[in-house]
Formats: sequence, C-alpha cells, structure tokens
Amino acid sequence: MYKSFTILLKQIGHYSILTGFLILGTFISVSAQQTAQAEIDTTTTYDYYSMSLEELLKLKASGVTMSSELEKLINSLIGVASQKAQSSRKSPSIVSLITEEDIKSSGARDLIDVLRMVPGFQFGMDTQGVTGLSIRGNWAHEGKVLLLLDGQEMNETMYSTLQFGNHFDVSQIKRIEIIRGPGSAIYGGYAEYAVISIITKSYDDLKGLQITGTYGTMEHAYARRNISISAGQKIGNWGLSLAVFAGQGQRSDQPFTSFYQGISRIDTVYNGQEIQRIDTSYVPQTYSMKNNSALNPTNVNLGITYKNWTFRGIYDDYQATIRDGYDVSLSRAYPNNFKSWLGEIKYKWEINSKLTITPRLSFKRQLPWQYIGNADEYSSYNKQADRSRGSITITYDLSRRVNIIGGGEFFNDRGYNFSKEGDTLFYNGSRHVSFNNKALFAQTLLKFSLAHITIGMRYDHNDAFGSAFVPRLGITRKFDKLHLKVLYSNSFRAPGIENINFSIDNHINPEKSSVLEMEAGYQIGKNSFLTINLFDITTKDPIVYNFEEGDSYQNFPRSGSSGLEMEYKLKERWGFLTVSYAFYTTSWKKETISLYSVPGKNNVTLGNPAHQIGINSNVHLGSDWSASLSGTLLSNRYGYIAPETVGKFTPAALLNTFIRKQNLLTSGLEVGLGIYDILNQKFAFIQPYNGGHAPLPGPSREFLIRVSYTLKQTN
Amino acid sequence: MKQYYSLIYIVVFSLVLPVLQASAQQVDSKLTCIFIYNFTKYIKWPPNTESGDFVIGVLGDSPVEAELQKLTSKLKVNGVRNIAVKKFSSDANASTLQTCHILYISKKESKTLKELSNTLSSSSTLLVSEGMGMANKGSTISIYIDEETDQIKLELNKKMLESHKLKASSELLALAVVI
Repeated sequence: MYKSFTILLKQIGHYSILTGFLILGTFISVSAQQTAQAEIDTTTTYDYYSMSLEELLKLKASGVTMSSELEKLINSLIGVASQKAQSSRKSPSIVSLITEEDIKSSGARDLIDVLRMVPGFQFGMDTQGVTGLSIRGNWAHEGKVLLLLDGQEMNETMYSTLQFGNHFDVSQIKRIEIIRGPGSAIYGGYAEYAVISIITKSYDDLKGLQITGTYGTMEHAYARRNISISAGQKIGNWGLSLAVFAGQGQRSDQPFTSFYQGISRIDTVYNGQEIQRIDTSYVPQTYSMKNNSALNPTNVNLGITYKNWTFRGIYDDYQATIRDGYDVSLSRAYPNNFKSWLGEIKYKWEINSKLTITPRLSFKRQLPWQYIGNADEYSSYNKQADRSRGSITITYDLSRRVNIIGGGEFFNDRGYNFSKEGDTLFYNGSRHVSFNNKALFAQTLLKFSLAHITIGMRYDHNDAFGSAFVPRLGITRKFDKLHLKVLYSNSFRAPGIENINFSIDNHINPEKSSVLEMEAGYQIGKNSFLTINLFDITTKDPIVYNFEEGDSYQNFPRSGSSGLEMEYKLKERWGFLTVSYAFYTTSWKKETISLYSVPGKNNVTLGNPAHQIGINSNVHLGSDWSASLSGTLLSNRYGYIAPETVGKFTPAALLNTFIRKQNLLTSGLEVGLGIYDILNQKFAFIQPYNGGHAPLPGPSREFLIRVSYTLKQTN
Repeated sequence: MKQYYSLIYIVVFSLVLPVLQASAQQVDSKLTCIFIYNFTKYIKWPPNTESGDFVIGVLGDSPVEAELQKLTSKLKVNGVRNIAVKKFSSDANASTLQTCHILYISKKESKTLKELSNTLSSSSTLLVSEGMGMANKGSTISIYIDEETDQIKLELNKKMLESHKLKASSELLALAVVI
C-alpha cells in the first residue's frame, strides 16, 4: 500500500505540489474544527419573522427552509445555457443538472458513470482504446460536444476529441451543468450537440481539506486505484483552491479479438533492383486487456481569486496504453498519452450595477494521442496544439426586463509536428500550421410577462475553413407548476487541425446543425417533477472520418435524428429517485451517413440503442447510512463484429449499487462500498462507425471501496 | 411513424395548454406572508387607523391566507396589536375592502388590480401583489423573485403610497425598487 502510494506521489511529480498543500494545510489546521455533518439549516419559519427586511432580501428564494429539496434543485440557477444565470426551468436550453449529492450517493466511479445518468448520452469507442460520446444517436466524439472543466475547454485541439474512462475525478465535483442540445451560439465550434460544464469545489465549498482514496477490482485485474486531495481556503481577499488527482486504472480485464491479424515486424529486403517488403512476424488476434489498457490520470487544478480577478490553471496528464490499434491487434501495449496545460485569467469589471465588462485571456497547450517511439506496427504521433484566446464579454441590464450580452473573441490555433517518422509535415508542407478565428456574439434576454425570450447569435470567421453564423431563439414560460420551452438553434462544428490536415484536397467545411426542441415540465407535488422534451436535429455537411477512403475526413451530405426524452425526479425525506427515458430515431431523416448506419435498419445508428432508461435512486437508512441503486437499461445495439458483418447486441442492464456510511468513527470520515455491473454484462464499447474495429470489451463486474475524509473549518 | 411522432407533439402540448395560467415564478406563500408581516414594521399608517385590530385582507383564493391565519396566533403588530385576517371574494365591495390596512391581491385576482386601485384610491389600504411590474399596474408594493440572483425583490410605487397617505421608512425605500 505504502509502495503504491509512493509510486502515485512520484506520478504526481514533484513535491512542489505537496508544499502547496502543506502551506494550506498548516493554515487550515490552525483554525479548523471538525464538523459533525454538512451544515443543517435549523432556521424555523418563525425565526424569519424576526429578521430585518434587509436580511430577508438577502435570502435565496429557493433556499429557505420552506422550499422542498426538489424545489431548490429545479429552481436553482444554471449559467451554462445563456451566459446569464437563470433558473433551470427558464433556461433557454434543455438542461440537466447533476449535483455533488447525486454523484456521491450513486457512488459514480468516473464521468462515464455520471454521464450515463443523462438522457440521450451513450458511450462508444473511437480507435486506439479511446471512448467517446454519442448524443441522441449521433456519434459526437470529434468536436460535437464541448467539455468545460471550471470554464476551461478540455477538448484536444488536434481532433477535437474528449477521452473518458478514469479520467476526471468525480469526488472534486460540485455540480455539472449540461446542455443536452446545441450551444454554439454561446460557445462556438465544439458545442454543436451538447455542452458539459463541470464545476469543481471552490475554496468556499472546501474551507479545508478533502482526501479521497478509491480502489476497485474487476474479476481478473484491478480496475482503479486513485487518490484525490483538494484543499481550499479564503485568506483575506484571496480565495485559493488546489486539487490533485492521480491514479491508475484499466479499461477492461476481458479478452479482445481484432478483425485482422497484425504484423509486428516488417523486414525490408533489397535485391539490387527493387525494395521488397517481407512480413515476418504475425501477432495473435486475441489478447487480454488486463495490463494492456491502462488509464492513468494525473490532474492538478488550481483556482485563485482576488477581489474581481480569477485565475484558473489546470495540468492534465492522461496516460493510456493501447494494444487494439486501428484494425489489428498489436504485439504489445503502446503508450497513448494526452497532456494538457491550461491557464486562464479574467477580470470582472463591474462598472455599475447594470454594466459589467469581463475581459479574459486564456492559453491551452496540448500533446494528444502522443506516442514517441518507433515501431513497425504502430506509428509515432508527436504533435502539439496551442490555442491562445482573448475575449471580452459585456453584460448590460438595459432595464429589469431587458438584458443584453455582447462581445468578441479571438483565438489562434497553432499545430506543431515533432514526429521523426511517418508524416512529418502538415498539408501546407511545413512542420507547423497556424489559423486565426475571430468571433462576435450577442444575446438579448427579454423578460415579458407572457414569456422569456432569448435571441442570440454568434458569427465565427476562421482562416482555415471560412465562416459560420449561428442564430438562436428560445422562448420559455414558467407558470405556477408548469414550464414550457420552445427552442430553435443553429450550431456548428469547427474542423480540428487534423480534420483539415487529413481532408481530401485539404479542404473541409464546418458542419452545421439546425435543432428544434420543445420541453414541458410539471411539478407534480412538493417533491416530484416531470419533464418531457422532443428534439429534431438536422446536420448538413457532417465531417466524417472515412476509414475506407485512406483515413481521410470529408463532408457527407446530411445526418441527424429526432426523438423524445423524459426525466422524473422525486426527492423525499427517505431519499430520492430519478428515472429517465431517452428515445431517438433516424428513420425520418432523408439522408444518413452510410458509415454510421446499420444495414437494413433505417431507424438506428451503429452502437446507439434506440431506447435508454436511466435510474438513480438513494435511500437514507438512518445513522448516516445510505444505499443506492443506479444504472442504465439499453435496448438492442448494432455493431460490426467482423469485416462487413453487423451483429445485434441484446438489451443490456448495467446496474450498480453503492452503500455509504458518513461520519464513521469520527466526523468527516466517509466509507463507501459499491458493486458495478451487478449482472456482469461486460458491456462492450461498440465503434459507432464502420472503422474496421471490433467492439472493445467492457470491464467485468467491479467491486469498489471509497474512503473519504473531509476536514472542514467551521465559521 | 412520422404521424405517430406528430401525434406525440400534439398530445403533449394539448394536455398542458388547457391548464395554463399566467404567472411568473411563484414566491413561496410562507415567504409572502413573512414579507406582508414585515411591512407592518416599515410602513406607517395614518393616526385614524391606529385603533382596533390590524386588518390584513386577502382577495381571492390563495395559500397566503392560511399562512396569515397561523401568524395571528403567534404575532402582533408592534408586539401589542392583534392581527385579524379576512378573506374577500372578487365581488367584495369597496367599503369592506377599505377596512383593511393591508390587502393582498392573489394571483388570480391581479387582473382587476387597476380597477381595484382606482376604487381604493382614497383609502389607507396598502395594496400588495406578486410579480414584476405589478407596481405599475396599481399595486403599492409588489413582491417578485429576481431569477438572476434567486432573491426576493420589492417594487414600491411611491405615488400610490403617498396617495394612500402611507409613509415608508427610509430603509424600505432604500431596499425596494422605487417606481
């Protein structure tokens, strides 16, 4: 145990981080007292009568004791959907809010578990062992879904992808705000189908120290062994938070069989006249993913606030190993690493109560898909992408009914090719490329008594691929128990550096989507709430990776989907229950992407079940004990099981249970035990396109223990 | 199949449309009640209204009435004066409404606010309603939720206040949005 811990610390690297903790820890230990529990508001209704008017007007309307827990949740403010925080019921988007309590009580291991709770979100595999998201039946892995970690764009800039699986630490999350729909009118080119905004605990949430250790084991191998340490404190006008997450994990412990036999060594023979290639070493098609599918994260997240200044710095080093390659098994596992350095500084300049100007400067450096080596069977990839961004956002309350937001953004993308082998040049014949992107955005929020109307637009012009204009209209209306939303938005996906680099004739258009959504939500009682929404997505010029056309990217004519999502939330004294249902179909679309479609079926896409039911439930058992049952039920999926052969994967039930005990032996100590994939379905990650890759076997049943200790300073 | 989908659209929205009633985000009835009671501390009524019970009227059906009834057994105005809560229907005549020191107009009755305000223009009745903009429509004070901050806000129509011969404390004037 000590040895593992030492290895982890070495992974974190350098004791400078620990020094930071020691300084913070020393400060905290001087003033800290252990709290018995999360603070309980003991204010009674009667106490409010003795409050002054000033005190009353400072209260959160949805946060007083008279509101039920559910009302506080559904009326809580969400900022992801419109740059101006509004209650989730009036936000001009279809939104999901996942709270710290949802995550903690469900025992979610990582973001895959968390996002499986979201209607319409599904995971598939891309290539080289990387898993990504499908949204509403559409493969969204490359550039169609934006992930923000404390406001920082985590998509890698080369291919615009995200990597899931023991990656981001869920124990540090305060809340996740999700737009299940387009977000380009606010966020630009990665937010075509969805936006996931992760907000971690601030210094104010932490007010001390939190340490979490997690160990999970599958049938044949360990699944994860992670440690997370976060600390936060306010010192005068300074607010400081530092979180470190490091660990080791494995994608699966199951055998993987590729479609083709690989070749590990190629001998070249020169016979005096010509060069002849002679394949000399073949690789078995099947291997065990145990010790061949590492998912080793290191993440350092620093937040500093000083008056109206905010700084955020993130270092993310996700070290994976892969042996599945593209379409053949490899002779051994190779590194596939993703490194990111992100920094941002912004200032909120409050000129007066009506006018705020927020300038922001940020920088992102990434080395994605990195393998620095030289092997016949696996090419090196050593490219760096930098994004330097400057933006200014102006918010003006013209009146109590009219709010205007406008601004501009400029960013420069630079790509560097450091590879020594293979393709060492970009399409421009150079080892580096550079693009500029200029954007203007504006949004007006009109609060009429009849409805709230949000009108927005964003115009982007990029040196490399041209322009994109995306308007947005949202009409929301909340009645006493009921709310309605009618939303229309265009969105776009900006091609990544490599999408342009590997496009045919070095030209590719941004893909554009038109999305129509409607939502009705009804508060059934004090403690339960139901939402139903419908969506229709049409995507023109989708950018598609074409494995059969020489690993190129090209625009296909059209794609999209239509469907329905429902979510029922119940929060009672005994606990809570959330049940969701998602359905999509492609059968009403005139055209679909042939590489994504299932032969003989026009209603579904590869890898994505038409029907999905999500469950998250938790019961308080008394004495700080609670138990949860969570999971997803999925209808048939279809995927390639052999070259040119599509197979049907029968319905699956991924069920997890988690029992936790808070304040065990001492206040602040929490222990949780969980079983994941109770039915041992070994749920495969299917490639949602015809890319010549066999489904990646999922992990077997996992047993997990989580120990967390929180030392919080009382006020 | 497409017809089936269209049918879902129609069913969902035809189910919800009949139950629509205009209202902004509802302030919790307990909170409304707390604010109504608080106004007794920050508003001064003319001397000729200082005898007898302090009358709070509720026009129309509202859960605020039940909350106010609970209040009467526990609290008094300025610690000494009993509170009487009276419920009025929409057809109540002006003379009975004028007996109220505070008249809370329920959401359902707010459409008659302008007319009511004219009827009670010579009275010393503080008209309280809910919703942003209602102080421009005849209410003296309107309570609403500012969704950006999730906090309660007060709108105060100063002209109306003066015409009803009521005086607001400087603190209330500073904290409310004065129209």
